Amino acid sequence: MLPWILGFLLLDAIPMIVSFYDSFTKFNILNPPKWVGFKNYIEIFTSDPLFWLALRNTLWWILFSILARLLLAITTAAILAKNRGNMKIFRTFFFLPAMIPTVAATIIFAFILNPVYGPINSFLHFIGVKNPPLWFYDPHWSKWGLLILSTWGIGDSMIIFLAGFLDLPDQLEQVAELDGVSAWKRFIHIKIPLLTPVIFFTIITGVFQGFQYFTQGFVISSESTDSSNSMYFLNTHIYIMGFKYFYMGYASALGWILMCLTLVITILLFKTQNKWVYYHNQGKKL
Amino acid sequence: MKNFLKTMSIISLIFGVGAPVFSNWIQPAFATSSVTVWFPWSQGDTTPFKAAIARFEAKNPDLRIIAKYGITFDKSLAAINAGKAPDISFDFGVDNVARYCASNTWINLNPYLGGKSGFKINDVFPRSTTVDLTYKSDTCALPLTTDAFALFYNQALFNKAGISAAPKNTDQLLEDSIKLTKFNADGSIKTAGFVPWMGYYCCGWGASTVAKIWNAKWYESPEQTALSSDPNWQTAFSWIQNFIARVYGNGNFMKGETKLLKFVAGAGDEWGCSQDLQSGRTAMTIDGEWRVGYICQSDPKHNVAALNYDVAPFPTSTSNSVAYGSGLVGGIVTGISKGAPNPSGAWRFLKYLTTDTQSLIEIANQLHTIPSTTAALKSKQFKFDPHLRTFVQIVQNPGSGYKAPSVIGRQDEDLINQLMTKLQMGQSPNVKKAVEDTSSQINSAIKMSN
Repeated sequence: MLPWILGFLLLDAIPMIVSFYDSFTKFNILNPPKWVGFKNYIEIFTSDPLFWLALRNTLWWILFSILARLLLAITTAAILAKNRGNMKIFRTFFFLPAMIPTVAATIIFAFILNPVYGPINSFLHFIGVKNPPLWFYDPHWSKWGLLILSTWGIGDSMIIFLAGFLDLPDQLEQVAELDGVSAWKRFIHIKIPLLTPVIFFTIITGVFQGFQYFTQGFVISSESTDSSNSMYFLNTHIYIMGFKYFYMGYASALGWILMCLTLVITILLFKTQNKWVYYHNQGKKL
Repeated sequence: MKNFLKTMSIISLIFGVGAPVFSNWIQPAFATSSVTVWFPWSQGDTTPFKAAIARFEAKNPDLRIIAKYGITFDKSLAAINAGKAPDISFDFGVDNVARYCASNTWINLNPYLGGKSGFKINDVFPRSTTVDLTYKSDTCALPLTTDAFALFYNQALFNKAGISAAPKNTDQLLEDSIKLTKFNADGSIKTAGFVPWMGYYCCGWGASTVAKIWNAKWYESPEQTALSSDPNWQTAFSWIQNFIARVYGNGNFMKGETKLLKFVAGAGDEWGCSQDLQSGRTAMTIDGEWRVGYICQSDPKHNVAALNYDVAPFPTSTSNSVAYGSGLVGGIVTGISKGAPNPSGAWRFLKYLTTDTQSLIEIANQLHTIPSTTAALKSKQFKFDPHLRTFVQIVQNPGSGYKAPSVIGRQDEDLINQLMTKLQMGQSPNVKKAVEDTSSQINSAIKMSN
């Protein structure tokens, strides 16, 4: 127990307490922290347009990355669950990209989505698309490019949904099939509701990951020398303010705001789960 | 006899093999003090520093230099903050020097410069390398080596277009760019005359370059930016939009912007042989002196042609023509840490390292930069590629320098770069409001810092 307590204190509790204190100070690393009360928080909400830009980008990211992740992971898992004979090979095939280090994958995608010599745009030209997107070089398309990059690593979500599909009781579907219900309707009205706990889990973890999103956007911004801030997220803002401009107190306040946002959204999601999440071992009706 | 020879052999072995080992023990016994220096360089780049240390210790046997390599300045900063500072550390760039001066992260060197072992800065360094190292009369850093920016141009494309000399002002830059720019059959850009675009390669085009070209002021006072009050900024932004419209858009800014965005997206690897200047995709570009070292030799096997190029100072605006010949200059700086265990010893080594001609030339050659003292720049020992001559002249031009020092480091430059990006993408139709918004962001940042 003691090692865990020590680890928790040194690596979690104490840094959190120090960071909370720093968020109420003017602290630039170069001088000791100076108490300023709520000044950092007021500054963030009233005088920092980059915060609002970063927040918009982050919320966009959370919404669309969760949607994309759900759609692709459920579809892939459903197909794999049906083809159990070849499941092992394809499961490995779909999971492999998730094993590649994030920065390496990001740099690879910077090439894949290069508008002039990348294979995606070469293919789009080949099939007759006259003006394919400029992806990471165009602020209107850059986040969509990041979304494509993120779906490459859906292996982890796919595995969870696959486990969910394999765990579904067969009886309900067999009865519905005997009653003449179509495959699509069985999928929508039986399988998906039974999978709602997994969907809920994916959404919650997607919210956490979305608010923590940093690496891919930061690396791609450097690769494409993006100055338009279309790939500027909340964690990017925290990093820039804290480690580039040395406003540690300000960055700490941003960190706590990020934490509160994550908490609020998570609580709201938990409150709504009674309305749409079906836990079949609790005897609730579909 | 046998025993005598045996004894003499053993003694010879001890002194012959052991002496180098023992000397490391003996010297510290003679050295009365030591100085710790954290260098950010590693591997082969440490060679000239080790040589400089050896020469210094030979001349100063009472002072031992404890050198640690591969320690970047953020780690030095953390150590200074933790009270475990090295005596001397280095930063790449002059952006944060004002901040270090204001917070005493690096100590004020004025007492040392004015003391018995001091010297007059202007007697040793060209003005361009030190003008930005002082904040409110305190000098807290000295230059080690420096970078400079100039206009690289493709001589072969110039000859083909009938242009006899590099443009000296922004009017000539525009006219020459129109002559040099070529389009493909589908209207896309084949060869760009000049690309005034934020995000086109790393360092040549941005707020610092623009301020130098148009002589735009950075600050009215240490607390107030001049971005919205100095009309030269507005003139610069209007020129850029007009340039994009006329050179690439046939008079239409959005057309030009769309074409240029696509052109920039296809830029070749900045550090390889497909870089746009090298490949002839761009006729003129503003870049640092390191570009000379990256120009590739002819390599038919890999489809690389030799580049016939030259270098000139970058053009200035027509109202700033007196400044032609000067440029953007700034490089590696070094200072003595707050809480340094041996500041007087540190000063002795700092003075040596930043003023010794042989050391500076060896360091500049190793790091592919330019030495920062007048003596080193004029020394016959400083042998350099002929293309670097322009940079050497720029460094010695009294009008050269970097941006005005500020307690917010390079945050002001980053905010103006973001403004320039919005303007070049046509995202801010109301230019005046966009400029005012950025001004108030800069002023807020200064207030937050104070």
